[in-house]
Amino acid sequence: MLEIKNLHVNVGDKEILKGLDLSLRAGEVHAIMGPNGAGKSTLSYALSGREGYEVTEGTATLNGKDLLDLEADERAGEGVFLGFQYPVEIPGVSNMNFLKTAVNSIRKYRGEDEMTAVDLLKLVRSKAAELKMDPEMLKRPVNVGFSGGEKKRNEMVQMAVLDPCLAILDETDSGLDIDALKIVADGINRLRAPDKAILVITHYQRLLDYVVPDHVHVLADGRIVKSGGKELALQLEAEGYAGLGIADDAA
Amino acid sequence: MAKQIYYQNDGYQQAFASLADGLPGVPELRARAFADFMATGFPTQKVEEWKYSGLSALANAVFVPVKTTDRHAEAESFLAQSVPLEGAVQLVFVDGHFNTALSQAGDLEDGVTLTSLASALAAGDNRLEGRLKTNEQAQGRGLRSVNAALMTDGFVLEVAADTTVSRPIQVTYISTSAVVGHSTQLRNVISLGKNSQLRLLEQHIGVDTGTYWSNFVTDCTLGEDAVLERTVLQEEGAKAVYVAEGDVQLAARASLKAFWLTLGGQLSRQSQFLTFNGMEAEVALYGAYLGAEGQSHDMLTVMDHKVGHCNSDQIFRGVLDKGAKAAFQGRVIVAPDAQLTNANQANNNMLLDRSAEVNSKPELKIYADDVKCSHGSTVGELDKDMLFYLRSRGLDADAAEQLLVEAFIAEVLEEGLDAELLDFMQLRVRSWMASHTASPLTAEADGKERT
Amino acid sequence: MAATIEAERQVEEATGDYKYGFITDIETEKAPKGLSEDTIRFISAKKEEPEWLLEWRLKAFAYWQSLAAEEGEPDWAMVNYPKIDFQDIYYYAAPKSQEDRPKSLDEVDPELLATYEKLGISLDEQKVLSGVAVDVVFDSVSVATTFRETLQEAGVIFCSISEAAREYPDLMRKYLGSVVPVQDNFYAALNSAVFSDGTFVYIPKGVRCPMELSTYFRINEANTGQFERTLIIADDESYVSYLEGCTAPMRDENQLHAAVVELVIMDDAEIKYSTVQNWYPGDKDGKGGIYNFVTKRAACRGVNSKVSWTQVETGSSVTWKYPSCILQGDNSVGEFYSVAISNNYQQADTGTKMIHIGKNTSSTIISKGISAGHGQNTYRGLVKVLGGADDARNFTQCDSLLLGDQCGAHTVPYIEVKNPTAQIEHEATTSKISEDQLFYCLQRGLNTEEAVALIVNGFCRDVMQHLPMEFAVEAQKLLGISLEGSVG
Repeated sequence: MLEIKNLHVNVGDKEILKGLDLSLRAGEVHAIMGPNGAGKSTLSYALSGREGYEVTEGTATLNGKDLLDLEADERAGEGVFLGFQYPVEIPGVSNMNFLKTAVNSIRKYRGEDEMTAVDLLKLVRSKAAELKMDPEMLKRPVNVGFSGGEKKRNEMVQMAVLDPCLAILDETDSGLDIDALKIVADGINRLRAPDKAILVITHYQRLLDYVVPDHVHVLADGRIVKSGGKELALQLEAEGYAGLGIADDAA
Repeated sequence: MAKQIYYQNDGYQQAFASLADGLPGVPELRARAFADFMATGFPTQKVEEWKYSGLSALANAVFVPVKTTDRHAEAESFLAQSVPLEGAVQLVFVDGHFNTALSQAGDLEDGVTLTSLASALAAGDNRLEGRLKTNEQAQGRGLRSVNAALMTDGFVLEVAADTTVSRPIQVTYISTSAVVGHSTQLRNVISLGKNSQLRLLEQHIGVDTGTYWSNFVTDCTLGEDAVLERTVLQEEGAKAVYVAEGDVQLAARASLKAFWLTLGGQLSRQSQFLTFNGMEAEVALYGAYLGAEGQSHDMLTVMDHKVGHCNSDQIFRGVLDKGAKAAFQGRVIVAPDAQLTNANQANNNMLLDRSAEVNSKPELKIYADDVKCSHGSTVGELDKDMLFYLRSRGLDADAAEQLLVEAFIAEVLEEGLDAELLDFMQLRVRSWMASHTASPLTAEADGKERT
Repeated sequence: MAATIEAERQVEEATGDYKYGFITDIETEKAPKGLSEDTIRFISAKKEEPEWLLEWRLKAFAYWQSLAAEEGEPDWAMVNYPKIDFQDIYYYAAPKSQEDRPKSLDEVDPELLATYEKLGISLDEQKVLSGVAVDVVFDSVSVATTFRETLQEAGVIFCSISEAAREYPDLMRKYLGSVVPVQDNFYAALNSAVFSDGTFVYIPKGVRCPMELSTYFRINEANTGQFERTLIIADDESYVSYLEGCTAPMRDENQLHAAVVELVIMDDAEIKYSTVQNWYPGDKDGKGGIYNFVTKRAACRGVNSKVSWTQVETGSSVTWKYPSCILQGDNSVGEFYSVAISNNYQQADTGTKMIHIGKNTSSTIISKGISAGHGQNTYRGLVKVLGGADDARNFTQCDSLLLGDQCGAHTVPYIEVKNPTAQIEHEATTSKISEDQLFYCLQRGLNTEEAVALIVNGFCRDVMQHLPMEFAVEAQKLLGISLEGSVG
């Protein structure tokens, strides 16, 4: 589904990703772990098309389509969803209005008709209820005044409503207490389906207690240095990155 | 004293001489006011309050009021654009004259008097003369003086003490093609008695085909505990010069909430002078201005806290697209002994294009110590992080820009308008954006690479 | 409440606690009173100036005369004072012993040295605070410059501007009036015509000036105006920190001080310019004091150039001063940190202009105004972003503190932006000293004076921390003194 080959990405003059290869098949959950500065967030931004992340070499395709040529919104239209590490606050835009606009933009991109306001409201309400979000929150401006946990829950509701085929979750678990972590895990697990792929980027193993990955990769210095099954995450937890001979600034 | 210049000095003199007989009532007042206009002329940009707006568009012709108008059908077609306001009493002015046929009078409570200025003047209402004051101290007062000299009509609205006007008063000013090359000179007088209440909605609509000049003066006095809610939607024609001035006097515990949505005109200027004369009065002013190619919007507020224990709040937001210009000048004055004054001003501006320009001058003059006064002013472009967030959720550059601009304006609309007007004004903003934004940002965002 | 009343009472009692108010009894040579071409020729001849400089002065004088005839003094600032009689002023006054400028400190008139000892400025190099070189300007002339040799070794030129006109004519001709042109404004034109001395600094390429440079200005003579001119050039990759301080005797009549300061900053260079302005502020009834009408401007001409103005304005009866930054070089940085106190009948109209021309330029303005007694304090500032100044940034914070109900605090910011990539933020607040804070301090054992001083110092901290160490202590004491009897 997602094929990344020899991806090199510069931020400013500095090369952050140095030839990354990664392949996700439909139905799989992959976890990418790695020390700070390894290039984890750069990978998520490069895949979702953020300005300032310059791909100098390599390819990334989603279902055979070249992602790197597309604008950020076109990639969303192709089914890419990025869960932000720090969701942005947008004063003055209600969550509901935001989702309505996003859903219809994506439908337009796919050549589908707009969803009626009633259907959309139903959809959003049901997803919010599944993820135990207070419906009042839908009226509030996007992420403004939300706690860290509420912001991440909001990301999960957005993900559920937009129903992407590739979800990239960039340290969505950072800074969360155990209850908030469970909400995030619940959101991810609900999305799991045979036709979807999920890429969980995390520094710590603890999210993986709740979202069991099919494959675990270790990213260090801009490359995947080791891949394995879920046991690799446990090994990392036990031995640290040092156990793999990788320096971890944060450890 | 800054030097004044005169536009078409002789032309106005001749016009005044030939018009004078046809204008309703108060000939001495008109003559005095006209002499003052001749002495002061139009304000130039050397006058501090007019630093950012030049009236050169008025220099090339003599813009005198039209005597009568016969564009009934045209006016009626414009009226379709007016705010559908449930149960409102409708006053319609066409080309500077009250139009009985298009207006819908309605039952008003006892104690409410609503007449056209022309008929009030023709009837020789003596009390009125004192209220048609000219402000002979103010710099740049020529516009008020020429209005007093040439005013053709307007409305006089008096609400007696303890009267709540249950139906909103809706006034629509229409400028048809008859007014191109001419001016409308309207004067409104509003006085609210003690403990009375009124909602007022005004809308300016105009023809796009040529230059005309709208010159409005609206003065309000608010008695003790009186409450006025005023909303003004300015959608003058694309080549119009719109100048409006208001003087508001507030007695103790009076309250004014006002909103200006400025979308039209080539040059628009709104000057509001507010004076607190009694304690515990409150003023909340809100405004949104959106400017496109060739438009210039200018807002001046002077908030004079003459006595203490009063609150004033101001929020003005602007969005300026390609070739547009705007200015906000807000002056808050706190007199000696006006203790426990709270005064805040916020002015936020968003520039959408390289050729847009904004000037902001929030000013404080404070002579009392136990006060809380603040102002904030910002200028910026669309937030890059927000844009990316929206685009990563699937919005294209146009949609993302539109949503953020709408949101930026929505915050002030929501603060300043009640639910009934909010939806309508949001629609006006949206339709303005649909017809005006050339969306140069889209090109920029698509072309990327602006690091 | 009692605490505030106490504070206000002490404000009322504001006495002439101005400890620099003595007069030095010294023989002086003066130009004839009044202003004419002859006065200018006299000054120029005294200074043994080259012909071009005399021409330059005369041109400025002609322009000033035309301004004086047409518009008179500028009147837009929020200050009131009686019209100045420009013919009733001495434009040149110099200690007689200066006829032959002393070659070394040993030759300086002992009375003068004593004066500076009294001011707390020792000119004896052995006693001078380590690492500060001082130029002292007494009335119209520079009387001594310390540490010249040390500086010369580093290639730094630090001398009086009269000397520079003779010794470094190329630099002078190139830069004099290049930042503040003769026609800039009424007082700049006047200064250009009659400036009698001041300081000249040149920091060559790649040199970090080995010590702080400092000028002390002293007005002594009665009926005398001081018109000094400062020119500092920081060549590529150089750095200098410059400090100036000013004092004057207590006299019942007002005296005029109209200075011009020009700074030129090249690629990767930085100038830090600090002022502690303590001219005689007049007595508690507003009698006497200095009219301080100053034009200060920095041209950041080079890429990555930086200028930082820090001022503590406690003196003068009327201040009219806007140290400004022309941010022309890409990535150039302008900063303005200001504390201004207006007590008794003092009036200050001060602020800055940040003109963003180059790309990626940034500016910061922190202004703290304190009004007490019948003082009037105005912040007036302009932030202007021109069309080509992509990604310009400005942050402005203006806070006013009011002590007592007879004073005024005013804020007049102008924000003019012609580039959409600019990010401009302006915030201003006005408030009085907090009763809660005062009470808390009193409850913890401070007396009202101390409490007020503490709170005011806290209020000014964001500015004071930008002063060089050598000055910070003095400035803090000065705030204390200004607040003593004036604030607390």
